[in-house]
Amino acid sequence: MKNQLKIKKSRRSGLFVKGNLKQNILFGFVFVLFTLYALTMFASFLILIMYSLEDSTMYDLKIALNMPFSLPEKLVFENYGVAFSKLEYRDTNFIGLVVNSLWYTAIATVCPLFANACVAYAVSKYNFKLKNVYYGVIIFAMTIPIMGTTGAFMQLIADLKLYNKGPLLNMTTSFVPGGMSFLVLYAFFKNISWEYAEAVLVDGGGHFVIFFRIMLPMAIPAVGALALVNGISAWNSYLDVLLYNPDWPTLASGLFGVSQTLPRLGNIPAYYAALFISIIPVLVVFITFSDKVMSNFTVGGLKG
Amino acid sequence: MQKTNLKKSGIKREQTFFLVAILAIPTISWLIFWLYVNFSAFTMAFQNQEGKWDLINFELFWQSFNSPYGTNIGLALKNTLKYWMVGAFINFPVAVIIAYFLFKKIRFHKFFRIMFFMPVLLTGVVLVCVYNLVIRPYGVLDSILNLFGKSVPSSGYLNDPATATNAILIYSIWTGAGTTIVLVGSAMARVPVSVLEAAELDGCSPTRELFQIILPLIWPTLSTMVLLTFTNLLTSSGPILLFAPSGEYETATLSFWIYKQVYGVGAFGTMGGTQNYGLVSATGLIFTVVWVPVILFIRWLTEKIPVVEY
Repeated sequence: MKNQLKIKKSRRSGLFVKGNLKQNILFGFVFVLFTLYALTMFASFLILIMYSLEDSTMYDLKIALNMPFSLPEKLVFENYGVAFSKLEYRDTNFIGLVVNSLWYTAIATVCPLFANACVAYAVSKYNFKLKNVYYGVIIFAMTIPIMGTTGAFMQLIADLKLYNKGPLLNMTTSFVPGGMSFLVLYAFFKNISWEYAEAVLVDGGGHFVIFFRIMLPMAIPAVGALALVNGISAWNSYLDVLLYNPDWPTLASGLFGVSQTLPRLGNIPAYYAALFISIIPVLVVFITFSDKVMSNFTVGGLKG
Repeated sequence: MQKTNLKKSGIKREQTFFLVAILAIPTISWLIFWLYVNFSAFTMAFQNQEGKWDLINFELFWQSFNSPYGTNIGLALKNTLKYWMVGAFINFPVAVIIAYFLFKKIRFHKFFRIMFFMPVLLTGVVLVCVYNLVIRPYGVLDSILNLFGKSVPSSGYLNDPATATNAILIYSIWTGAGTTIVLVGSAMARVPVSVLEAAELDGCSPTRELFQIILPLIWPTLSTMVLLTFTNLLTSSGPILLFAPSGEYETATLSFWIYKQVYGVGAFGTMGGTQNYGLVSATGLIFTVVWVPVILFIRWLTEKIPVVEY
């Protein structure tokens, strides 16, 4: 009993298990490596903040003199004001970039997830003729390395008159099921008991009630974890926006665009200030929900 | 497999109606934006710029593949393979090992978990900027190298075809583990504690615990991810656009090459895209056809390993 208690304790602390020198050395060594890695990330973050508060002229001078890592002599908070008032990309100002980022992220997160939830639920919980076709086709599409369709896709949205149409384009093209989200939701619905549904059917409820009132709410942990990860990647994605919606730049694509002609901005620290503002929402959301994300991300095998 | 016990035909009809309702939008979207797009890419590969049936794209492909000049397909393929090798044989295994130590609750594991996910959170724009500052001439790396009597070449690593791709590869090692750690980590979290406690009582070493207990138990997840890693070979682009917006210094990858062709008249205009969607489609088609047997083989291999139910 005592022995068992000890082990429980050791699992909790990880580092320093009494009497197991080899393991302690291993964990200590890994701990040092992890710390070094964390430091590089931390440093990146600090450098960004440091630059965002540097005086514009001093910044140019320091870069020219090859001393990029010296602390600012005085903190210039006005850079953040400049970011809001001066920074623009393709006639969209900073506020516009934020607004575009918000709707783009919302659409890119919600629409594919909804499509995947519908298909994953139908395929995992119902017996219908096309069930195996759906599953097979989605897995096939995922594992066959298809590339080079960008041209055809561009042609299609041009033909449909959706090119550069902002939210309309994203709303129309985002309901395609597949990918990691499908696998996670499929594994999730597969493991949910059908008894809840039977209870509803006995009470005279229908399939819509089961899906929207019982199953989807139960899937909130999995859906939430997926929404967070997909949302972060949508918030940070710039390629698709540049390609298909060039006049609707988001923060990520707009800041990427600005970075290509940075000297033109005249105040480079203001650009760093804008970068810093753009990562705050993501940081806050992730740090708040990181525990939930990690525990709800389960992908199963492909065999179904 | 749960079967709905349907006795009344009314319920059956409602079920059909329900299925049609929730599947309609995803199905139509898939038919248009996946199936039609792929079909039209396939036909485009066999058409010239005027829309006539022609094999010109395959000739262009062959020319670009063998051309020693400029940003050609052969070079892009070579670079893509490098990115994939780094992803599959360095980032993936390292991520599994990191996930294991986080799972074993190494001290401050919650903090480290966030730090390892940082590359996903901080946009590439930020990290590339910092990385540039570190490896530039007279930067941090330079001061470290000076201690050993060496220095960063005055033109910088990124402005030399011989070192540019390697410099970006090292960047992708630095930033590449985040999502894999999350997926593998949450699979590990589902391994029954009792199994691990029993192993620990028997004095099982961490290495043995990882390779002989945990990895076999999470094999369904792991095999899916291995397969997707192989599938993504062709689409692994690397952060080329952030480092070398025109793919200069021989840094282009396949997906970057494609992006460049399609993006011809976009925001920067001068990127030199050919706007030849046919060539893009033909290139994609060729690599897909070559790679499909490899994927099927890998899938067959991963299914050879028995799955443990628990």
